[in-house]
Amino acid sequence: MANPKKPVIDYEICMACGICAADCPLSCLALRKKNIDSYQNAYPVLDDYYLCNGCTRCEKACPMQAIRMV
Amino acid sequence: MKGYCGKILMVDLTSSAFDEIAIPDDIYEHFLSGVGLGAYILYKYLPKGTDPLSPDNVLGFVSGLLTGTGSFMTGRWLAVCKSPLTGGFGDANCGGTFSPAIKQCGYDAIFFKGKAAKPVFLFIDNKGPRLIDALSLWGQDTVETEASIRSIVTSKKRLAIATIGPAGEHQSLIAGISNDGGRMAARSGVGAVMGSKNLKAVVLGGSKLIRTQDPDEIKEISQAYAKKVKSSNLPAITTGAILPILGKSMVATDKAIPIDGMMSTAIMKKWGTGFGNTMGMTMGDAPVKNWKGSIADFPYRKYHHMNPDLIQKHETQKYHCYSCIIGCGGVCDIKGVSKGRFSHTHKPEYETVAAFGSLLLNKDRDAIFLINELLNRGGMDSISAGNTIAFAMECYEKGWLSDEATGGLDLSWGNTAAIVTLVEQMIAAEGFGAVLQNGVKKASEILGLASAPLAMHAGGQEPGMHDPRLDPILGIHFSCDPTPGRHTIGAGSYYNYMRLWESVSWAPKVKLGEDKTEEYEANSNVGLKSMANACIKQVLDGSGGCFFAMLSGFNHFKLFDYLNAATGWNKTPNEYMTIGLRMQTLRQCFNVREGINPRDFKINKRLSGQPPLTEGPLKGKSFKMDEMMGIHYQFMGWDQKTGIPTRAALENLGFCDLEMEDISHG
Ligand code: SF4
Ligand code: SF4
Ligand code: SF4
Repeated sequence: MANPKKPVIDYEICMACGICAADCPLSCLALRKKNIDSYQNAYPVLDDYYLCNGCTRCEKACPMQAIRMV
Repeated sequence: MKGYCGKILMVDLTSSAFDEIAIPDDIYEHFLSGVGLGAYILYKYLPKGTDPLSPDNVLGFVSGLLTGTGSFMTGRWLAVCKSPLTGGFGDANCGGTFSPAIKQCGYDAIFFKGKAAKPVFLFIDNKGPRLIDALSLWGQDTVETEASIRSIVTSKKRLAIATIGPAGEHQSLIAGISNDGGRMAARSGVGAVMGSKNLKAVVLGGSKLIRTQDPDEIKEISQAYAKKVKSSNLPAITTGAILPILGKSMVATDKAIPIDGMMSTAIMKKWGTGFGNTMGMTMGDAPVKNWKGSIADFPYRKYHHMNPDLIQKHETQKYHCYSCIIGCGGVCDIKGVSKGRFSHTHKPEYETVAAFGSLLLNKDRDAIFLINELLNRGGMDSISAGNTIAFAMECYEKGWLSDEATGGLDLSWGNTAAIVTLVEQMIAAEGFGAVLQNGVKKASEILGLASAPLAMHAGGQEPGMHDPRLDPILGIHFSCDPTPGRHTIGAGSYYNYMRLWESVSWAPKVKLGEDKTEEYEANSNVGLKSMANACIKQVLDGSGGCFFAMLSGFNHFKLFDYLNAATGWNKTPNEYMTIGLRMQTLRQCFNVREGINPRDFKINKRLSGQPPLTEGPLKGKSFKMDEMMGIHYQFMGWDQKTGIPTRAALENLGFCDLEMEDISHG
């Protein structure tokens, strides 16, 4: 059984590097402007909650440890 | 477990055969991955004397050793081949999301040889590679091609797509390869080579894991670097109005001011390369009127239209290449431009703004947005296209081009409508554009010998938009790099930012207030700096590193530590510089083997101030390019006169299993 937990991103820590989005085998994470900094950076957003199978790859890939599986 | 995959894919397009080739560890230790692996494969598999547009040419898509390892700023890939523009080594560096996708397919690089009978694209996912008919895509622009492929190919993973546009299909020698809707691997004519192989696109959907020796160490390095980048910001009230003032103050003194690289990072975060649009004018960095004018020809009332704040008004969100924490790119809404012909474009880079602004005396910002999107979609290099049009305009000014010859186009300086038409014609290979579509050298050959002095190029490659009369070491690299005409290899200013002297024992330290005029003479300090530039850029391009991370300084961007943590090698910075020297020397040997006389790559003498400009910040500046080339060759271990690597240098460096051609060593 796949882990039912889903990634939750701490945008205070996230650097908008896109590594998690490129690493997700199902491409569930989209990069989109979140208006949380003055730079208009695009941050990862879990678009399709049900598509994510909780594999934790994004969590492991994030260099900032900004992702928690909840 | 070493950061690299240890194998490449060789695709024979003639026979539709796939060959997985294992690459021994030794090769990575000698050449890294990326451009080094590319040079190794080209030297080994490309038959000597191959016509660049023939099936025998080898075209590679190489990722970086650090790509996908959890390191930041290492998501760049390169296209490599024998260049149809210079006849020597060709490469083009690009960002976007294509670099990790190569490794997620299980390869460090994908190479193509042969030629497909009809247009195809390569698709790879976890099930392996296959070639798919691309006849219906032929003729589509790069943005359309990506959309079409996404509708044809079903994949769980979002596809990374590198594709040519019509310019590549027509084998325009200044065609590039696009990914992510217009991020271009633009230089060396790599798009023409792809077109010559009937290869429309490379489409990647693999999701394999990339393993490293010490992932925790990599994360630690990344977090420390991120902390610095996050806190490097310009004061919130800063506007583009300060840029021309800053530029002016920087040339007011002839003294070196080694600013911390994080300053450049703060600027890149705010504006991206667009900071140079106006700052470059007052500094004299931005070329004007085919490199013969100055700010006097393109004064404030014209150049202020290129204020990056005004460009940024169109920006709807930032664009980061994979693993980038600076984010110099942007997505711009251009529905209000040119009657809404296109909805979006990547934020125009400084290079494009200068090549289609000051270089042509065009002050129409909206036209630059349009041209940017036309070139990205057509798949053509904006630097080369701008230089070529500037050449045509100067010929027109001299009365050497009749209205009949131009097909009725009035090529007076700054005629925006004619420039836009010409760009469209060049991409379509129609009208007068057909004369210009192969770059400035070919255009001057068509127009006749007398026009050659007006053609700005080094060995066939048009120069980037930075003036060596401001920074002579930049001119050395324009003329001495095996891929000439590049603004991204080295310069005195880059050297100051990099602070290599903190890690590399032989790199000379630049002190505050040091006399900059000594950089105009061929002395040993200049030789050491230009050598350091050349070597470190190879290490960077072997790692997938971004040029702007390099400018943030290696005291912050810990490239060497990253490499050791990914591979487990434990090499010193000096040892990495030797690897860089080996990579650069191999690229030079490739050129010599292909019959190139390195001295022939000397850039047009206008760019070394022969004769000097009579107005503007660079008034009276000049240097002796031949001597500067000689000092660079000498420090690289290449013959000072001929630029051919000496036998002693080759023996010292060692080239693994490569059978090095016995070139007539100096
Ligand atoms: S847990 Fe797995 S499937 Fe879900 S977003 Fe992360 S990488 Fe994608
Ligand atoms: S990998 Fe981490 S830091 Fe990078 S975008 Fe994803 S959550 Fe943010
Ligand atoms: S700084 Fe710019 S070019 Fe470099 S990786 Fe980031 S977005 Fe790409």
